[in-house]
Amino acid sequence: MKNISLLFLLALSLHSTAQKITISGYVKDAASKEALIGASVVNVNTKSGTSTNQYGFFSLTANVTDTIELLISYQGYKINAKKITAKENVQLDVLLENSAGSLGEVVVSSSRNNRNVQKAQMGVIDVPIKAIKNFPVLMGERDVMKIIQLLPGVQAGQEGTAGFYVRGGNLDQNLVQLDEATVYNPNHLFGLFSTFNVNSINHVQLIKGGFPAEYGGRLSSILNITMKEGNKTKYQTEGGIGLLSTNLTFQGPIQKNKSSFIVSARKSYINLLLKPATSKSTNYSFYDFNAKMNYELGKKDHIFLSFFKGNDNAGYTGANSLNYKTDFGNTTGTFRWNHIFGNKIFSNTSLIYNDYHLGLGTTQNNYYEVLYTGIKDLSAKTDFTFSPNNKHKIKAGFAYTYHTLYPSAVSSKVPRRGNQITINKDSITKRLSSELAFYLNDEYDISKTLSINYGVRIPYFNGGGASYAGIEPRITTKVSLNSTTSIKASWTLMNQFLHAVPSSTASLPTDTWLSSSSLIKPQKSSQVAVGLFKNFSDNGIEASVEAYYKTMDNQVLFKEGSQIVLSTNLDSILTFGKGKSYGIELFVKKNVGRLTGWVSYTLSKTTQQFPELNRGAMFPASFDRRHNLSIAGSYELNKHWTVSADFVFYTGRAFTLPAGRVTVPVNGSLYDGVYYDFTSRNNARLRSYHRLDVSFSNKQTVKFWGKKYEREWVFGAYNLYSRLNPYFVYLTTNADTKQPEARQVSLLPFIPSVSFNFKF
Amino acid sequence: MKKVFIYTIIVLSAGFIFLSCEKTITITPPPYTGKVSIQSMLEPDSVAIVYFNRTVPYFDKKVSFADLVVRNAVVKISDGSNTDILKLDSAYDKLYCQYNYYYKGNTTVQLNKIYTLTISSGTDTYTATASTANLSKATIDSTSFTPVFKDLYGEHEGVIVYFKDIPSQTDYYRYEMERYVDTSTQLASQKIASACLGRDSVKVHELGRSVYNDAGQNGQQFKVVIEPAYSHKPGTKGWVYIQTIDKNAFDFFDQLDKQKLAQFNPFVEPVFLRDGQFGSKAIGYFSAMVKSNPVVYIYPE
Repeated sequence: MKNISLLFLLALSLHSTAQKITISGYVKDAASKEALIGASVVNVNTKSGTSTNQYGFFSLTANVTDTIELLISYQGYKINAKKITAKENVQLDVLLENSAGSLGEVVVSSSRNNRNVQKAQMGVIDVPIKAIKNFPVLMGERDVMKIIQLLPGVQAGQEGTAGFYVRGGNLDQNLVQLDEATVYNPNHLFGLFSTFNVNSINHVQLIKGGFPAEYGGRLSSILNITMKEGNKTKYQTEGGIGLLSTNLTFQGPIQKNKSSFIVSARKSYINLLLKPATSKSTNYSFYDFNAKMNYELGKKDHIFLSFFKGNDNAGYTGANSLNYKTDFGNTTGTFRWNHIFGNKIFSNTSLIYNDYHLGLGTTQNNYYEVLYTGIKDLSAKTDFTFSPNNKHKIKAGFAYTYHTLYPSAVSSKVPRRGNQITINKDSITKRLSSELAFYLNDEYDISKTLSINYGVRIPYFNGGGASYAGIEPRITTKVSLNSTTSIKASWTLMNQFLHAVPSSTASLPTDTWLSSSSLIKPQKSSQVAVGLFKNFSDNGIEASVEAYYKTMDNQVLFKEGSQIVLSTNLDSILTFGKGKSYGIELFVKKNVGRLTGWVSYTLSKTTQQFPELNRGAMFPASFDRRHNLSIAGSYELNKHWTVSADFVFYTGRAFTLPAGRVTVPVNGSLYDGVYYDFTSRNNARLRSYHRLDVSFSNKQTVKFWGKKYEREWVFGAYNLYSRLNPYFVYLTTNADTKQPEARQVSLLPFIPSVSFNFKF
Repeated sequence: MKKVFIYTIIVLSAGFIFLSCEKTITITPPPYTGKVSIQSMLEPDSVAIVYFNRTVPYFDKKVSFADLVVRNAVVKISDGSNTDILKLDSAYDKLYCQYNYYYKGNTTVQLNKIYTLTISSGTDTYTATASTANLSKATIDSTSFTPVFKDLYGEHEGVIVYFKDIPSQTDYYRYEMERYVDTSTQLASQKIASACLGRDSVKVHELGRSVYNDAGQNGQQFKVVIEPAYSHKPGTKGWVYIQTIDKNAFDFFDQLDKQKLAQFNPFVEPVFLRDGQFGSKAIGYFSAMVKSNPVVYIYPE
């Protein structure tokens, strides 16, 4: 803390001696007054600039003698040019007009946003919600997570499982936050939809490397999702009716231009549609609900209140290889208070609550597993952003979280008679822990060509009979070769105190969340990345090549042969090792014109090594995929019609296959006359995965009861050529030939869809 | 008509979500250098039997012992002063309609001796030792039956055996029941389908899957509950034994038990067999055991 104070004092003194003014304010959507996150604000005279933060706020320092010309830009919006002549600090709110309706984007070419090249940050991808809305629709739903899975360095789990993998990290190494609240399972329908309703989202940002010090607690990525604040000027209703669900969003001012709200809900009705055709035990229903309100207490203070709840309930009884019953969901709540000290210090204080649970009962091959895993967090955090001048942007803050975890699982053979074992949540032994972190970070533009983003985070954990502390230095440097080209490098250390232990054999996600303890040490990672960033066509096309090398310690897996019974201390059946991942990511993105989209390719390798597994030898991680190609695009055919498509290809997931077979004289025993000779873990691959999705959308503005409203028909096809991608493979013996054979289970073939969206 | 069309699309699309498609696939097998499997458990007063087979790639079509037995091997068992050269032999298994092949000795195994097994096959030689010393017979106190028992393998009926551990030494045990089965009997949930058995019955040795050690229970009474491998009727008769096995056998069968559990239960991580007495060149065990005196057991239901 002492160091933080000193730094602030130093920066303040710099500020007091300079003959400069500060231009600060917000960049907002002209129509709704919604904050635009990551908008670029550039002083044309000095070529210096900044970007808006998560709340649309910016602070820029300029010389008093200047007639300052500002260019404010944001993808999908028309550039706004402002001329300012002032000798004192200026409070400036900038409104940008949506460029929708015109084919392509009309821009002043030299001023297009080039922050991807010029900012000292790596592995950060901003996905404006407008871009998400241009991508193919899956069963009537536009989806954030599906877009995330198309980005370089990101791999989807297989169909039917939730989550995504980033740069060789396991699912639990991704921190997904909705308005700063952690969402532990961001998916519906086992990953087919995300829990985030696109109509209620403002902005999505993925950080997969070069983590600024304000972020911690996970090794591999941070996915920041910011909800809309609500239209501050007029009431607005939008919604959609799809094949499986309907969504409705209502937003408007509480007090015009000062306060607003947004309420959004989505509900599925698959179970109703399928009721006549399926058994009683087959059903699926989910819902999610978002609400947010904000109030400007004055020019300096702004409060926000966000709430989210999503839940899934499903059951399926079918093939011997796939039966389940599950209930899972997240509830989050966030209260935030923004305060601006002077013109240069922006602060945010948050109180956060989240509650996650997963209850799952699944049966395979006459064995079942029942698990319950739950997490409740209470968090408080405060962040300060201080911009003493255009060379420094200093961030500091702290965060505290109190975790309550409810881990329990049991597995057994399906009884011949009687009931399976059940888990009573109230009887689960809670695991309590606290996590505290301080950080300090500075974005420092040393010269026009050299910038550095450096900081340190100090996490502290207490729980499970142990305490752990760490020091996490972070540094990213950027050297500009010219205005459209730069080279960047970063190094980050991260700690993680919560762990979801994956099963390598179960077909459904049976990961159980556990907090660190005297036996479970914190996961640690060290990641180095270098990259070349280059924009073409006046920044209309962004391209990058990034290479990374990441090592991970204290990785957690289950020991061989451990069957969980109710009395099992989960810590005692875990084994610990290390992981390593490295790869190259290529990314080309076209932001403007009738054709927009990107191509992303990742070549990577992820291995693990555990003294107690695979005879101590290194083995590929189950989520190791050598090749990962994604192509996503959208083309405006004319004023009304847009066609979108995405194609993905990735190497099949690794799994363990016995290499040899040993036949034994049976003569009557519960052995079935054969046992396995395993030579190495994850020695086989599922078939490669590929899929093409296409959708056509028709947008019209029409009159209804004398009022104009926007309507959209979307016709989509998921898995257009109906590739039967592998979900999992299991081994069996042919009853007739007595030959061992492998059987592949696939989930989703070609699925047509139609949906109707409206907005008025 | 339009409504019917739309409803059809809706139901079809929604239905796909619950659709799982299964098919048999061909997997490129992982590279595998075959090994040999050696299994032998010496029992005093019996001649030595050694099963010596080759292992095969997992998806290999060879499944019968006739294909898998390693012929022309030189198999010797020596107690230091005498060497018994075992000969390839076979016995017809009417239950499985196939010949079982094994190497069989000429002289009986003695108590309190150390035996060395040497197998030469081609250019390879496999050696291991087993001792019949320190193997004491357990004494079965009583037996009973439970229709419902819950353990790691689920809920099942069980044969209960109470026996006393031999004090002051480390012991390892395994259950065995000798009984006769015919085609009216079921193995697990499947009826025995034997084209060779006809109306005959055949003697089988049911071996318990789990093995036990006396750690923490030295000299105390043991209770084990065993899931029968074969179905039974009221009055079905069998003979129960408790085998006292050596550590080599215990280590091997304990691993095998865990591997079987992982093989059947998809929620358990696969178990790799560690190198045993023969190093990485061969899988198996060369061990010794003594059996308790048998106790007649009659199934009550």
